[in-house]
Amino acid sequence: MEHLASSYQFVLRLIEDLRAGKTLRMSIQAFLAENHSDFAKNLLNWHIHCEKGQLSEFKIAFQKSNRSVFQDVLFDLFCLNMSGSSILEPLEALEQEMRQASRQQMDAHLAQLPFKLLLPLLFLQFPALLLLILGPLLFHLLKEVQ
Amino acid sequence: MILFSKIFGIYFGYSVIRFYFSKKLLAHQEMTKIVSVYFSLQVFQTFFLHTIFLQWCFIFVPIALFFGAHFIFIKNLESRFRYEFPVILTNLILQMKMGQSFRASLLKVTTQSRPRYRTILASIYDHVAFSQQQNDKKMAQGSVFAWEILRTFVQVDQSSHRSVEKLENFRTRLIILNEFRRRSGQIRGQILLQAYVLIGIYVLSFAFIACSFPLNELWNLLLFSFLLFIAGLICLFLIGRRVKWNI
Repeated sequence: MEHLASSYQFVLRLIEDLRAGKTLRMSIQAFLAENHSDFAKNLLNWHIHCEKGQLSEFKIAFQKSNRSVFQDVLFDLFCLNMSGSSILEPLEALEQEMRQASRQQMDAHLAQLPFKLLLPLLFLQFPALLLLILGPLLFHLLKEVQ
Repeated sequence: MILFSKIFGIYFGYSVIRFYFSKKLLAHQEMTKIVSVYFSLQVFQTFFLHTIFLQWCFIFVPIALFFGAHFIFIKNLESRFRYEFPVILTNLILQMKMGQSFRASLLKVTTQSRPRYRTILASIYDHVAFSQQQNDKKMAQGSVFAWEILRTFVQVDQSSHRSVEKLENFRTRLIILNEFRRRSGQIRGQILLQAYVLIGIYVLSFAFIACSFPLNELWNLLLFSFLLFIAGLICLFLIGRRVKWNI
């Protein structure tokens, strides 16, 4: 299981890099060298389209497949950065939102977990144990009755 | 024969522990405790156990257990280091705020840290101080987290501009990551606990059935039960893995 969404990991790292005086491009390259998630693929796509100057095409393709509002905003911020604006402050605000959303998702998963763990126990492991314990007993009982 | 095995076993145990101590994987106090327990066991078996098999067990089983425990310890070392690293980083930041240079602070923090982490920190310090001569790729193969620390530390070392702020930012990120890692560890812990308890119950039940009934007539039944149980375990681990982040 991934501990944290790749997009959020990248945002955390990007904030750290921007505060240290690095550029967006340097941060993206460092992230892509280590991460191979779906978000990294999107990021790589964005990077390639950005190099070619075809960001509008990327945007159309991305909006068709994307389900995350945060990633949408993130790529908008990248475009803003390419036009020369500083994105550190909005990025910090986005990080707060992403952190809250990640916490909520993790809490929801933790709350559902006991119920989810009960399903294989009830339908697979409990019958397996019953079969193991009662099976031989019933088998011998039937044999003796016959 | 017994005397020979005893001398050989004790010498072997002593060599193993001395090796771990020389590699700085054990602290002096830990080594003293382990050696004391081992010698107490040897004294106990000299007076109370007289069969060769039990004497051999008492000589070599603790060594095997030590190897096993140490293997688990090494596996857990990185995750424990990851959790405790923000505290080490805080110490480093405080040293720098008191006016010391980055390298001097790092050296001080390394010597002050726990022995089990000292080896990792010393190796990071060596890479930072001699980054021109060291092969950083070699370190990256060892641990991803150590590589991340090294990269940040080399940046801080090479440019003195806003060093403390860079370290503080790094610490903030690590604290956030640790928080989420702890939560996902809770999920993993619940799944592993359930799996271990069920495996234990299943093995004990199987042993009971194997002792009580002739198995040759029951193979089909037991195989079906075993397959059901394995399918349950697979489902259990799949449920644990299925967190699809939509962030």
